Amino acid sequence: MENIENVEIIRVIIYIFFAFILMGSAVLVFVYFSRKKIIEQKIKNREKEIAHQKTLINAIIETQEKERNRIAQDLHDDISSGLNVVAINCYMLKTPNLDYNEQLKITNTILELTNKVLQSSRRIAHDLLPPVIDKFGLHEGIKELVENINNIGQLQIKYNNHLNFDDLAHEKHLHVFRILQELINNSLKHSEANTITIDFNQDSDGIKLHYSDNGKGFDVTNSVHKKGLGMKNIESRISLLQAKLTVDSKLNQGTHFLIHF
Amino acid sequence: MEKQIEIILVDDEALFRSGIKFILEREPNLKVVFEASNGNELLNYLKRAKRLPDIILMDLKMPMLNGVETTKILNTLYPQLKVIALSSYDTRSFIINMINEGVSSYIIKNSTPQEMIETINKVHQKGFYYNKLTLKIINDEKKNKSNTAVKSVLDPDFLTNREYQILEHICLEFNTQEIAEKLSISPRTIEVHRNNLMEKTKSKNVAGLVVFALQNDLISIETLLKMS
Ligand SMILES: Nc1ncnc2c1ncn2[C@@H]1O[C@H](COP(=O)(O)OP(=O)(O)OP(=O)(O)O)[C@@H](O)[C@H]1O
Ligand SMILES: [Mg+2]
Repeated sequence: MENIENVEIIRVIIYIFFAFILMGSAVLVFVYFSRKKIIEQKIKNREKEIAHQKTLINAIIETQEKERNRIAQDLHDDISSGLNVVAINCYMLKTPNLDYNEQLKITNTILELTNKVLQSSRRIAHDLLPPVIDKFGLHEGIKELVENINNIGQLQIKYNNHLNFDDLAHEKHLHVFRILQELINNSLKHSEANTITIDFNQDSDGIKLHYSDNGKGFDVTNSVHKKGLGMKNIESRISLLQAKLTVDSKLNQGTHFLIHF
Repeated sequence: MEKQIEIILVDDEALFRSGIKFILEREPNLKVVFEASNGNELLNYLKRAKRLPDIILMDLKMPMLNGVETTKILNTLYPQLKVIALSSYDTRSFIINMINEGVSSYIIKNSTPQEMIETINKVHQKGFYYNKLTLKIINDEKKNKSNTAVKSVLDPDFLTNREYQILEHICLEFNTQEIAEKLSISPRTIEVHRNNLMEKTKSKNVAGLVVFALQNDLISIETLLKMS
């Protein structure tokens, strides 16, 4: 009797034992597969991120090339050809037997051209980097930018700044300036707005830049608006700044950008 | 008075054109008969012109129809016209590109008036004028395209001795009259030989003959450089 009971007990123990092993391995297998899934998901996200980074880098390179192309054109069209004519006119001055009027005319042409070339070189340098930012800081740089656009008259920009840019690391200033340039370009090019407001303020959350235009807006989710370089460039600068960008725009209701530093 | 050399200036910069015109017309034998600001204006003028000019000074970068395209069109419509490329670019690819289009000379815009005037006179008299830089670039180009050259050049019968002799003299900037005297044959015969040469080498003008001779080692660059 006892023996039989013992055998029963042993059998139960063995069953339980196997049941545990089975459950254990089931748990192991489950953990293994779900881990695998998580890792796969992570890899996928990483790949997506890398792909996104790549498009940003490509956008930067492409923009740079376009810029260089434009500068090369400007140099050729304005500087080289201007100086060619200056040189020709100097040779003209050297020809013998010029009368006073001829001399005067040639000299005036040379002066006029020299001034034009000077202006061009100043403009090219300014396009590359507005000297005011370097000398007088971001605030003055933005003021100058706003003034230049307002003088054109297509639209008016209202610029309010409630903070001291010294609180913003100096190497970030140029990024902020370039982002604003790009945003303004887009408003000029696409929005048909007549007013832009630019507003910097600071609260317990940090520094915020509000940019809005009262133009026709666009559908942020629609991929037809993702073909340009401008927004990609803004994105890459935002990520360099470790800031956060929120775009809020609806058709016919203007466009609002919030950058949170 | 000897006949003036008639010139057309093609350049989009009006002030540059008037400067060049001023300088060229100080020379009694040079006359600017027309100024065009791009290729289209030139072609329109030529269509209506009673007489073709002797020389065209051609800028490369122009709006509408640039200098390269214009020269291509001139090659088919007026192959006898002599084109001098006048450009702000002095790099190999620009020069070779224009030489391949058969221009008689290539000078850069900041050449001195003396260089420009000499170039125009030489091109008018001899049909071509290549400065040292251009000769060197033409010569270097043959290394890049060896094997693609016309095979028959290697054929010993490709040119007769007489033709070879005349080709050499042309490269050395002798004109028909001078060659005739040196070789004691009639100018008419020289012209026949020259036409045969152009046909054999598929050149459209004397300038093309020189490029061909240089690129196929029928004459050495040293010989040409010694002269200029
Ligand atoms: N302020 C705005 N108002 C209306 N539409 C806008 C505005 N800003 C951007 N968009 C839309 O978003 C698109 C993407 O802008 P983005 O700056 O990336 O490219 P782009 O301006 O078209 O070209 P690029 O900047 O490369 O010259 C624009 O084509 C436009 O359709
Ligand atoms: Mg844009």
